[in-house]
Amino acid sequence: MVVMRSLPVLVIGVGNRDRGDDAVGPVVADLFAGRDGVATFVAEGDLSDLSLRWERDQRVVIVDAMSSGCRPATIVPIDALDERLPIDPGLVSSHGVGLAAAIELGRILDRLPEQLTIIAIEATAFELFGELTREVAEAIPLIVDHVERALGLSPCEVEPRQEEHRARTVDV
Amino acid sequence: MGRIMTDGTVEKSTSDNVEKSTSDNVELHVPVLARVEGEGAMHVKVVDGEVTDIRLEIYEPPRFFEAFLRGRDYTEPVDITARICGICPVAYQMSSAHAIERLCGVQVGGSIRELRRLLYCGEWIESHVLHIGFLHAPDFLGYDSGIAIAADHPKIVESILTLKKTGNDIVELLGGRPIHPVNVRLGGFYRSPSRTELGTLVGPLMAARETCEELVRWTAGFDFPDLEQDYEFVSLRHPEEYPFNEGRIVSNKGLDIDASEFEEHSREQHVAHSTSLHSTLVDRGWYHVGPLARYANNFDLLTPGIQELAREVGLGPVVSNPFKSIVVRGLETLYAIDEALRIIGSYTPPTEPFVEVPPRAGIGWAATEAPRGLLYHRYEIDEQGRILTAQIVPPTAQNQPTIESDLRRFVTDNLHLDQDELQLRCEQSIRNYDPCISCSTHFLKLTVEHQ
Repeated sequence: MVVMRSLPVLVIGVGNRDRGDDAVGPVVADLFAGRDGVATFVAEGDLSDLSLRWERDQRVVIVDAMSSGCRPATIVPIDALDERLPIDPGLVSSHGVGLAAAIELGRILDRLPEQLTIIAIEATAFELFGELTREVAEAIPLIVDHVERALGLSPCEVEPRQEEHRARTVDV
Repeated sequence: MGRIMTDGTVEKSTSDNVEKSTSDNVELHVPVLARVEGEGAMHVKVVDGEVTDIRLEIYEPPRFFEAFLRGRDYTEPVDITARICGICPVAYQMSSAHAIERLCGVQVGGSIRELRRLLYCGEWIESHVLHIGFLHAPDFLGYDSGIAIAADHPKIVESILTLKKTGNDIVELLGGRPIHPVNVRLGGFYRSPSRTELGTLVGPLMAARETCEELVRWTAGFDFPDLEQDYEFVSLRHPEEYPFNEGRIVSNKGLDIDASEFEEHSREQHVAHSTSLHSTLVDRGWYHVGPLARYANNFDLLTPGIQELAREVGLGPVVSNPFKSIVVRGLETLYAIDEALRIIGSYTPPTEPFVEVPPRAGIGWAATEAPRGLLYHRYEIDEQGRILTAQIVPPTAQNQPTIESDLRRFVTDNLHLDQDELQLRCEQSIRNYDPCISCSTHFLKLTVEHQ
């Protein structure tokens, strides 16, 4: 991973590649790697230094799995500059800082970028060494579309990972 | 009997949420001990002003890594055991690699050995800095988290994050990613970095050095509770270098053994109140592993500059107050930075990034120094390289009896303290060790019962 700071937009995939649907963020970030004008970064563990990974004049989209009780593969876009995410204290320990806390740290340190959008995807399986579930895999083209629209990028054709497409979007 | 309920994670105990009893019989209940990794509880019982029972109760389900290593190929523990921990996967990779290489009669030297030390430097920096900033410093400053510190001390927190990122960058460059590195294999690495690639780390490391010195001075100015114990400090000791991967297992009280002798000298036992085994030394009892132990056994192997800084901030060559481990972690971080710069400065890429490690039947042992202390591995494999047995003794299992001993001593000496203060200090006593109860969930409950 190398973050090319001169690039105007940054796609960050958050999650553990070895834990089922948690890999959706890294998988989507990989799809943007090498696209013109787009920097990518995969954050697989502790996120404490996340705010050091972007520049203030960058536009940033973070793709991350969520577990909210929504229907599997539901996609929720969140404007992280406009909304404060609830911080789960259990995700702040000596082993790491979670996404909401990392963004709040950036806010306190005045290190937020020009745009910060989170594309959250409802995940259902986090088993060690597990694969993406069928629902989340099938939703990947729609997730990519959300990222492109958030960043004003031209569409790039992405094949669904499975035959059927069941994803849906919830606007918040 | 009074019952005290407080959420130690999001807010410290205050008199507002404490139901005080006017009698000597009080039960103090903390559903979540903040910022500690894993599922567990703490029970402290005081009868007539005397501590009668202290238990660190770990109820997180066992994960059976040793069992499911059986039957796997001898090349796999490097990757499988790395998943045991999200903050110290390098330690698991190194202990497993060294044990199996020893079993197979292979000793890795030269540039590959240096790269392994460099990888360990990255992990120590990541882990120690996260501990200092997000686990331990909030206790001394009266905040509930590192995030809360940021509001009042933004420059310090930004420095901590920058330091942490420097450690991440080392692990990512050598390991392929910042957690659970994928570039490590038996005999070395799948790919070795170029001099130019390693050179990109020099600037950040030089800046990190200055930041780290400031961090050491900052933490040394904290107000430390009084607690000194006559610990048996157990760590690796190498004749020429502050230990990461190699050395004999020694103590400040005369223990001096090879890793192959470790199980003859230590005992793991089940206790009713914990799903984690408790380790003790045969005929010697509980012992202490981690930064204070390494420091006590290897002070002379720190660089002269770090020894001088230690003296400047008031530390001698042995530190027996566990609350001061935050300062020692800072000194070890500084060592890791210096060592990383030394390795990068003299680096010549190896001809091949790894040496072959052909299987042979036998038993291999190794201990390396995880950020939290000695991490012991043993493997037995057959002639095809299939694993027959595996044994892993992590630092937290070794420190559990020591944590309980610290608590007993601290509570005994401080029964006069206000309930809130006693509770906070008990939690802090646990956090001194940064116990890693698990890497998956975060829950710990503290109960203090006075009768």
